[in-house]
Amino acid sequence: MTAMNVDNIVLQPGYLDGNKGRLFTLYNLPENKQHMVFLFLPSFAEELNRCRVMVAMQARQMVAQGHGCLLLDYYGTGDSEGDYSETCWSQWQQDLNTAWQWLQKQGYQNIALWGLRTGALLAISEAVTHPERYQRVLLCQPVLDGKQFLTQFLRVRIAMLMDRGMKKETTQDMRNSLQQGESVEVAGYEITEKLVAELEQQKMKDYAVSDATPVIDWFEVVMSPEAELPFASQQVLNIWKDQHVDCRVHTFTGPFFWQLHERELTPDLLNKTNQVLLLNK
Amino acid sequence: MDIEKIIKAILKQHLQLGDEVNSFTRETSLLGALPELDSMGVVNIITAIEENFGCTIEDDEISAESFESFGSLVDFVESKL
Repeated sequence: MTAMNVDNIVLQPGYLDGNKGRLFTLYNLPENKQHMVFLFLPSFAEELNRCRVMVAMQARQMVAQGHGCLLLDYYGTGDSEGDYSETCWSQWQQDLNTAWQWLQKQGYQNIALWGLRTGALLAISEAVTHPERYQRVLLCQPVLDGKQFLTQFLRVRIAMLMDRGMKKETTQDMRNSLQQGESVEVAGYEITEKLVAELEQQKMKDYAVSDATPVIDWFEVVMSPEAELPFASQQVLNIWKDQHVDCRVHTFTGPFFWQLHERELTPDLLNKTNQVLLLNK
Repeated sequence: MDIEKIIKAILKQHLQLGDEVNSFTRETSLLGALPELDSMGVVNIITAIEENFGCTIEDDEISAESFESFGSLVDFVESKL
């Protein structure tokens, strides 16, 4: 499949009124209100920045196919109002609700969730809570375990302290500080007890998926085209299979764009996502 | 198991390094020498080592000494197996 020409496709910046302040969005909505709109749930902290170029490219390719998209920055993150210390899982849910309601008011009925990394956790959690709201769900490189993810994230501070030759801390030290009501700064982001406590409880395998859950497409990177998914992903997928969830898996290869300092595109993921959307208009 | 080869593949994938990785020797400097190896890069490498070698790295084992050179990183991984 050849790359799509998206030169003329623009994502409009705009703000939605959230419950605490204005939420930044980038969007391009179809004239035909029956067409599907993909509501994007972003990745976490610095990962959000690292993914911007790739996400914008994917969004423009979706628009080129006749779909709509709405990219959301949660309250306290990205270009939305509020401080990072105010961001947390329950706020993300609130902001997603704001965006969904706004799309409803515009007359769009076919709304899909498109979650990247921790955004994929939120997408499934919401699809399970409100199966009637969403027609389908795209998961991109999903985070499966909020606690494990946070431990890795807190380790960025350990690496920073190490790099600067400062006094060592452990993630347990940081968790202790948080429990005493102090915030902890990781890579310039102010992390709070509430953020950690809520996200730590999220586990993909614990969500009550069923045959009523909207159809799911799961995209995950592998080191070579014939490689299998990691064991942790297979475990979740086996549970879902037992619950009769309609989930299709698509593996891709290429740069780990959510991790990289240099903004990278992963063409294989763009192509595979486009193929899935083309087949299921 | 060719530990050096696996670590090279990990560095290449997670730091988006080119074929320069193939010419890394034990003496090649990492931390402070590779701009791609920032704090997030260090954590991504550690996570990849844990996943690829099936080992667990404790917080207090994350040290600048291990990331000083390619050789020190290989020694560190060998010590975990």
